[in-house]
Amino acid sequence: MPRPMQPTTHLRPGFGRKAWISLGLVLVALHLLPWVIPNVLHVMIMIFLFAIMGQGWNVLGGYAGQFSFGHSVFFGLGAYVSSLLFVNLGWSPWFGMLFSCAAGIVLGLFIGFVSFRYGLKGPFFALIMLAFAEIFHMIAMEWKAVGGALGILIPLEGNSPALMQFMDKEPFYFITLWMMVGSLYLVWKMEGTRMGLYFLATREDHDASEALGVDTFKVQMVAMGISAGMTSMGGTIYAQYLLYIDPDSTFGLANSVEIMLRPIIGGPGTILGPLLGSVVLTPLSEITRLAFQSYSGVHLMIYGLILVVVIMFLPDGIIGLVRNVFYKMLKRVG
Amino acid sequence: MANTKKKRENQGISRREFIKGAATVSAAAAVGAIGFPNVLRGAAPPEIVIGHIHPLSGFLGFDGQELRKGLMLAVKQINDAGGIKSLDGAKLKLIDADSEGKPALAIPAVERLHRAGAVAILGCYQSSVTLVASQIAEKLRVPFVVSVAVADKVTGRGFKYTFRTQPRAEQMASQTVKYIKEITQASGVTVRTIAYLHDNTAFGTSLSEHVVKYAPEYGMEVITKVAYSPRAADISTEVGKIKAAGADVIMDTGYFGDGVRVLRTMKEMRVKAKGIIGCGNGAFSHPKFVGELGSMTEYIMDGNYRANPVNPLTEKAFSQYKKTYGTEMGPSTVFAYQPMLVLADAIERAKSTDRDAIRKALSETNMTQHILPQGPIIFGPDGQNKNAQAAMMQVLKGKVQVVWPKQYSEADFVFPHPS
Amino acid sequence: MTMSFVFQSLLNGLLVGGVYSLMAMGLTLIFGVMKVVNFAHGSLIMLGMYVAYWSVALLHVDPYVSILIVFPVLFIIGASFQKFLINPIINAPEHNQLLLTLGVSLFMENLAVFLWSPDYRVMKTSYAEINFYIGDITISLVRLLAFCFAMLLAAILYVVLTRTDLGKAIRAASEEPRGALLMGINIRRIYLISFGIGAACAGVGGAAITPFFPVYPYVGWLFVITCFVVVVLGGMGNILGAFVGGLIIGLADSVGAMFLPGSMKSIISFTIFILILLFKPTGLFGKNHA
Repeated sequence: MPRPMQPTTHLRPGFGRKAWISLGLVLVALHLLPWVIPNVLHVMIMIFLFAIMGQGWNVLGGYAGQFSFGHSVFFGLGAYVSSLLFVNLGWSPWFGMLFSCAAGIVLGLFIGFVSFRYGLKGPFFALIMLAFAEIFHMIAMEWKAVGGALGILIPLEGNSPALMQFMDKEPFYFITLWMMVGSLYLVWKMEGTRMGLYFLATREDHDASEALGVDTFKVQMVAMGISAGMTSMGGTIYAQYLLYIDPDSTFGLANSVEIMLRPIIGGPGTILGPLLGSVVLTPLSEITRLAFQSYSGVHLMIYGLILVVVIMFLPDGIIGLVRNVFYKMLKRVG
Repeated sequence: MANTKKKRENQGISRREFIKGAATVSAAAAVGAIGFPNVLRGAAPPEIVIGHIHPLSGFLGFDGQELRKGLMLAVKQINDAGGIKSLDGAKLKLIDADSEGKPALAIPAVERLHRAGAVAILGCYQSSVTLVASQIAEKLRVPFVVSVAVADKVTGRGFKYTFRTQPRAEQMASQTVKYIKEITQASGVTVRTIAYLHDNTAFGTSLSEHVVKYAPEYGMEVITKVAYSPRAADISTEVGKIKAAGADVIMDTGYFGDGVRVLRTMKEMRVKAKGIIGCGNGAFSHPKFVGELGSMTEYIMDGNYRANPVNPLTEKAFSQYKKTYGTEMGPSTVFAYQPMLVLADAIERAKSTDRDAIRKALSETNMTQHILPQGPIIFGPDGQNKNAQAAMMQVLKGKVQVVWPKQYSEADFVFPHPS
Repeated sequence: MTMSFVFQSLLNGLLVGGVYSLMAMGLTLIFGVMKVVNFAHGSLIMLGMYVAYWSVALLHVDPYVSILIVFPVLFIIGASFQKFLINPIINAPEHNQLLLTLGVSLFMENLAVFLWSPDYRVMKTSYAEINFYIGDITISLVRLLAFCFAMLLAAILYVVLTRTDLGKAIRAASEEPRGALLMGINIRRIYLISFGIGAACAGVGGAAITPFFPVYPYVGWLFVITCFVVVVLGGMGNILGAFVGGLIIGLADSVGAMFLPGSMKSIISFTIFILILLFKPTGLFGKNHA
């Protein structure tokens, strides 16, 4: 019997002026960052990108309680759809991103339809997602029309904002920053709606909510759609940022892991969990890679070790720790 | 009461946001701090910083470490010989960057090396990583010298800062087919049909497609082309398909570990052909391959990039390598070693550590003293080594030896394979 | 397509399928008893291969004698893994357990990179050169022996589980943990032993193929996904199902390779996987759940 997760603290009631001001200040600070410390832009872009996709995972895995072990299937689909539309038809990736999102939603609903119809959950659902990701990986490897194993090289068009190509990093920083903020806002809004409550109800007790008249199938389908769409959009950004995709770096198992790590480490089923997880994990892997580069493999060992430690000692993610420390501080202050 | 609660919640969000922001900034600062001392070092170079990006860990970690050794050997030789003479004997300094084999990691790697003041970057063993890394280098105007990456597109994008000494996929495949033709003619054996076994990665797929295209030009035909996944535990059915084709010659492309499995399975299933010939095979012309599998590798051939064995410079490099690292120098290691020398030569001629001056010097390279089996190293306008040439190797008496083209051969080939 | 080609592929598929069976039995035992999806199973296979490799290379024991070393070593590794890492989070949500095993596998693989370098290593043994031929069909001794050892251990495991008190306790703990606890079964000890046996199955499976399979730190990933397919096919937690499932997937891969290009061969086993998950999540031999 899995232990139910901590009930989510609702932020809505206490969201007053001070909070808005400090939130605004953080946002302003983030907007000034490229001019203050330009060297960290790549890390920041990766933090935001994985926070967006982690948020996608979080909607399904954290809120609706269906954890997926194959979200790379949406990531890869998003990357391929916009890239193929651009390379073959010359459609701008801005436009392509909408198609990626739509394609992700369609695929998500399809997988959701076949899985939730048969009441798949727990490890069974995790594994069916893995199977879909593996099948898409195989098809992308073999199918010449989508580049096969060679992948897709997106032609450099110089600085061309209309085609989502930039000579500098700042535009990607702002794109990912705003998409990340948008995803936070979306989930925050969602948490307050009736549907958001249905998500939690379904997660905590599937059968009881069904008995109380919640259409759990529909609830899970909605979660799947949002989740898939968000992750697919992340795929498009990734493709445009690298201007090169291949099956391994998109549909690969490693990406599924990277995407799910963020919300789980940060705090699943919380608004800030994925972002927090990304803020900790992304720089962590960069720093350990640099610090231990002369010892092959050691930085991944440490990464693995930290995962184990966090899961064993912080079962609710880092956000749980932050909360505890915070409440202790509050108590001391009185 | 309700008021206090509200207040707490208020503080809650702001504090939490603050902590989040603080974590972001401190993490960012930590990352920045690591790059910082190197920037200072780059400003007034007592030494010339050269960066390299290879898969030092991860699935291709073995290969990446080998290439790193090749680079270190070249750097050591140059420094021991007095460094860059036109810059008052400035010494070269190599900085590592690990790609883990992931294209996305190429971006921070190039940027970090750029900030560390690297005058040029070498890399990256895999075409996928190289395609991304060379693109960032182009944006940052850092000369990028390819060590190993076969994809034709690496030098086919009109980039000004990318250079490659290694033969690209098309050169390697077409030359291998040509050598097969020449060898069969010289030995009076007719070879009309080829069965091709390759891995389904970008590497195996592109080489095999070029062979299919070029074979008819030399009166041969690929009658069966079978791909296998390097992630498959058993590949005996794929080998069985090759056996069933009954072609005159069997060709194979794949990375090291697969090469070992493929040959074992072929021997076990008594696959017979006039020749088993690799094309750019990661195993077939690697000294470790012979060491691991022993006598079963005898007479196996491989058309691949290679050092020129009849050049005394090669012998010097090989013996030094063996002395330093205790193992034989593999063929891909040669293509880390030689580009480093090409780069050092360009810096010498540029008389400067300015990247554009080095780029210009690289584009004017005309190197005759090198260890490759080809004429002078000259880069075409696309940055590709115009004279790049593969060689045909064969395992003879437990040693990988160059057997073709004639002028670079160290032994006579044995063809067809005695059964 | 000649008959000998078809027989040859099916034979090799069956032989490798036997090894899948053993590895998957270990995985399914762990899942059945603890409900833990163990992604570190591949790393345990890898460790088994390294232990066998080093026993042969350094201690010069016979490759098949090395299995006697692999079993206890992997049992201890598995049991400590369970005691120190799995047990503290045995009641945590499934995704936490899954991530924990992933973290452990990341750690073990890269520890192997650090200790033994990412080199490919090939075990040197004269067995590898021995083949039997029936007409045009090859029976490789090392493949046959790997199959036989896997079958032997699988049979022993089956007998232990069905005929001994320990086995009955394990099955009781797997089917009705609270009932078992009430009956005075030491559940923690059962968990420890089950995980140890599961790990040892993975290790022995790895050791059995080392005579014909190169060893390197990431080699486990070639098997672990297939193991999951087998486990689901046989029904998660069903030992006999995993046994039959391994043979079926071994054959399915061969058939796939006969008809499909390149990496597409696994599409057959993945399709089976998805269909089973959808229509019969209790596995081929499972009872339909109420």
